[in-house]
Amino acid sequence: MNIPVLTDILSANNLIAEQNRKLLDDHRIYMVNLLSSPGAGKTTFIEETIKRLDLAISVIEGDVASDVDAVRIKKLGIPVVQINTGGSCHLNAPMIQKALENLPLHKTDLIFIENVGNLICPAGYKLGENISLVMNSTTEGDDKILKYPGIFRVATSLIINKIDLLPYLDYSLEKINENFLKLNPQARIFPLSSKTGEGFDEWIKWIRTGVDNFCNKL
Amino acid sequence: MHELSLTHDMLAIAIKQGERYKAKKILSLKLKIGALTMLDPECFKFYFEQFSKDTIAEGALLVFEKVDIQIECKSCGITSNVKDFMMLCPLCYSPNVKLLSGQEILLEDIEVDL
Repeated sequence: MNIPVLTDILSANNLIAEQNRKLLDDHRIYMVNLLSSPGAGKTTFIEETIKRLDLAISVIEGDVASDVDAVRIKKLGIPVVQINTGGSCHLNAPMIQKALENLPLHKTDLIFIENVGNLICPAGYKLGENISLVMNSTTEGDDKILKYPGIFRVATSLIINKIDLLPYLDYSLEKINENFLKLNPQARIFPLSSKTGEGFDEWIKWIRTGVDNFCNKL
Repeated sequence: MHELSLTHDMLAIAIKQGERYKAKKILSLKLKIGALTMLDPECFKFYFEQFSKDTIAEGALLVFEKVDIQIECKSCGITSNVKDFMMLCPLCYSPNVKLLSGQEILLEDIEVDL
């Protein structure tokens, strides 16, 4: 006997992602899912954004093991929850649901999720975020967009980090722009350096506008 | 590696549906996988064998149907299949396209013995 199922295998995750979104909407909180390979500079980028953005920010850190990143964020006086996936290669919506229980939602405007460093698996898992930022750093090379199209396709914006190293590397911003916009024509690109602060003004202006527009729409 | 958690969820959906029909055994599961997901059927098969042990789905056959990436161009109105993930109309090169298919991770049906 044939039984029709017609169920999205990710439906259980997506349902909880929608519940996360609803909870955050109720608290007027904007959530950003930050994705990249390990070592692209996600934590430093979040630290520098926190210093420049006049909003109440909380952070959810996702790593396979350790609390190294959470300790760094905590030093800035920012509420942070560390999720250790224990081997799993991505964060999922139930993990975020649990993390949200441990953040002061009544005094948060913006949540950064630092996803597990991985350019494959996190792309498929909705968490309840408003936007997905994908980061590529100049030291990784300018071919990553061609090699991992899945994750770059879901990005709302692309952050190109470590542009202070451009003079020492064979990394072409033109090539990145061209390849990325073919995959994802509507997205924005922010070349910046979390070390020198170059390029941050544009990014901060954009994220601030995003948060304001979100709050005005609710 | 996320095939691991997807296989786990797929099996749970199939068993729940099988039990609802009081099935003695699940013989096969038909899956539709969009090309954009870049999922590996061989991975699914490997994990499924492990997870389904001692369940009504043990030994079931996994049947995969690959779904092409299809886009509709909002500028020239043409629908095309794309192979290289590029979200550009292959005819007029417009980036103003709508994704019609290619993102599916769908359990379509199961074959059971009652």
